[in-house]
Amino acid sequence: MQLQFLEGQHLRQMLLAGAALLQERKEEINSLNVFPVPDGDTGTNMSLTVTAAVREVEMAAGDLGSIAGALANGSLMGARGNSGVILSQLFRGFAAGLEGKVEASPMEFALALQEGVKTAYRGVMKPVEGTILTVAKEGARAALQAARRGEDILGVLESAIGQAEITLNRTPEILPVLKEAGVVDAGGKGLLCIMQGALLGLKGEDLAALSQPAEVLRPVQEGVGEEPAALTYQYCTEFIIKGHGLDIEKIRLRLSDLGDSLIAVGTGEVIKVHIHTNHPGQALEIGLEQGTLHDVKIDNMAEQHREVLAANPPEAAGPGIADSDEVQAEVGTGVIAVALGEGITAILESLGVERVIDGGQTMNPSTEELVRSIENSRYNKVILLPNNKNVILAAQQARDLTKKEVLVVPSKSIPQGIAALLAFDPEADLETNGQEMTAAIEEVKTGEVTYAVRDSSFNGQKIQAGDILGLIDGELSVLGQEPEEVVLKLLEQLVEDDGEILTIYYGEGVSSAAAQELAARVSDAYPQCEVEVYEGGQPLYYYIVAVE
Amino acid sequence: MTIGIVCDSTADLPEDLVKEYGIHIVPLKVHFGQEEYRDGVDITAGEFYQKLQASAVLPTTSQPSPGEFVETYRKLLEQGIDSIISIHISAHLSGTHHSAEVAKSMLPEADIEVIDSWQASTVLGVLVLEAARAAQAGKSKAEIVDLVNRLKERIRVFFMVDTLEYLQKGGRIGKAQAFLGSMLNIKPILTLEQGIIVPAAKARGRAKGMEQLLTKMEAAIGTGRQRIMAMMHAANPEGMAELEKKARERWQPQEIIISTVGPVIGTHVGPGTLALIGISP
Repeated sequence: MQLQFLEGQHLRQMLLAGAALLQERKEEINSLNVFPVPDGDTGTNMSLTVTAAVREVEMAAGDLGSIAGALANGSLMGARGNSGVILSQLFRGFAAGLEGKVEASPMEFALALQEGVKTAYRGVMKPVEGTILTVAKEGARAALQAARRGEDILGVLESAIGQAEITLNRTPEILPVLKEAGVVDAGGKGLLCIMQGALLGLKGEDLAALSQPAEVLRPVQEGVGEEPAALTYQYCTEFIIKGHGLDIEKIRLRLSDLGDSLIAVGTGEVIKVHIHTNHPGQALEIGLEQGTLHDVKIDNMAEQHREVLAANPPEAAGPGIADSDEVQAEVGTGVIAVALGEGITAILESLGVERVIDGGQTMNPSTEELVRSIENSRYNKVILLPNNKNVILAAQQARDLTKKEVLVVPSKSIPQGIAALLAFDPEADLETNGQEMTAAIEEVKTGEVTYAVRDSSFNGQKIQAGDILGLIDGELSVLGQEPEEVVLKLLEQLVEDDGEILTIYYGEGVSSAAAQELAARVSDAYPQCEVEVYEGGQPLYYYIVAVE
Repeated sequence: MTIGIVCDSTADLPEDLVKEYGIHIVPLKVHFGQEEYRDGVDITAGEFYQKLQASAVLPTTSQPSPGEFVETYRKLLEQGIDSIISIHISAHLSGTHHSAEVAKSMLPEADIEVIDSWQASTVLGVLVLEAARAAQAGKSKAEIVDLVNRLKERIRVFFMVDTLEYLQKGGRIGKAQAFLGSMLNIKPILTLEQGIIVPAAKARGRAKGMEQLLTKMEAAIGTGRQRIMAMMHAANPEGMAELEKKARERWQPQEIIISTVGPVIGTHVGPGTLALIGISP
């Protein structure tokens, strides 16, 4: 099979298949996390990011430029975790390379891949080699060489994949931590999966073997993106419904009688609807039953004229972005934090956080969720506390996507977030708060206790799945068999002076009695320190300890 | 031209300074249930904190009546004092200033100046002390009034309470209201701005709280050698000793006034309170 030109339909196929393969392999990728901690989410994060992209692509018009743009916007808003954000940057550059095109030659395709790499590198303050960036870079380079040799689209993609695989296997040689852990880079592997899936999709091969992610792809969209021979339903109708307690299933049910190519995606507050129908008015009425209508587009497909949904710069936004012109925000500063655990959420709210975003099991909210929270804040200025190093990039991306003034304070743990929060002054301007809050983070040390999800090694020591791990400021420091023992071992390294405050947040699965007993032991061991215990209720981490 | 300096018992000035400069104090009252005590007259600070610990009921406070002020002013005038300068606790925190104003209006032929200090406790005390010193040095009434009015803009206090409970129950919590309900053991650092209690910072634990007191003061008055500083505590001698040591290290003040928070103020801030006072340049 030869493919001389890449068209919209091809790109769409590539994406759907790439997403499917990634979805299938995501657990495998999760297990490649350097530290064998239970929230090693690269696979899940990248999969969710791509899934969001696929949703946008499904609703886009059929030409290459539009699909590439939908890919960029969808992944931008859906980006979560550092790997997800970098992936969205790769897609963004790639899409920019294909802008306005109806078809791409192998050379144009390869150049677009290069654009992706450039954009991704630009988006990271300190690019680290031996990660997804290197895999993408060398893959794109091989693609360019193949294009120069006169290969077709398939040949270019195959060359890129071949090189990407070689580079991926080399990543342990580039990054010592990978070698130590005995793994290749998870982000790089995720990218490779997407590319491999894309190739399979392009060749039309093995689609049965690639499972359709049931919760993501809607039932087969006939007519979406293709020029139908005969139009059963004439009007391509799209709109966003906003409200509270929106019932997606109900809306879908009601709309399904009106036409086909129905897609309804969203949350209880925002739903994006796409349908081909002969009665767009009725479709809109159904939306009005539930909430208010926004971004309404009705196209007469018979005129062969489609408005493009997502070929605009990011500020034009994707689904679910609250229209900030609607409500006047109060003058003042709100703080939004990412956290998990009922107890921790309650503490943060009691300390003045306006809204706590539940990052999900992996504590990684998507860029879109962050943007939406910012838009929904009462205030015109917002401070974001990511409380997790894997959320910082998405938080920064969200900051750049909203019209409000936003400051991201780079907190990497709950204790850091709380320390920053204590330094927050609602009367001060963003810059002052930024300085004070960032400085406050330096004053606290964080210890975290969790379990190993797989065998690994660390500092020459063997880790077995199930062992208890102790981390200090995100670095693996202590191994043990019992969470309480590990806490005590961590404290040995963390506590330096007299008069320090030791705060213990115990997670779900730890009984109050066990926590109190541990606190008593800690008090005995450190009589000159103040010891406090709180029920954090966080998953995955038995204990989070703050030393300040 | 003899000038008499009058203040109220919330000035929390050490006894020896009161005597040295002949300052006249009108006492507020502390009520434990039905029992009534004149602040500093019928009950001392030490006795107060002991009683506070033992008492099931929270005490309340009340201002001196205009009549009590009239009595004090009259006595002074009969002794031959020509002018009275009456300096008092912030009108936002107590009705004492108002009582004094009423008393003044009842003595229209007397030369009485009533000043709202915007302060309380030894912060007020320092203002009163400086006024009394100026009076002893022979300054005119106008000069002294001017001195007090300018000083009250420059004087700074940062204080740390053990719990906001006392301020809240006594109704003087002001803008520190925002600190209520913090689930962690947060030590609120507070200050006075134009007579109202306002939050200044938050800290985890006493050690960090003390650091904040010093840091905030330094931001307010700088690091240069200080002429005069003051500090007071409520049943917290160890904390006071540590704060004094640190303040001396940082500013080497020529004069330090150490005082205890008296019963009336103590009712509203509670035991454990530490406070630091300085004058900005």
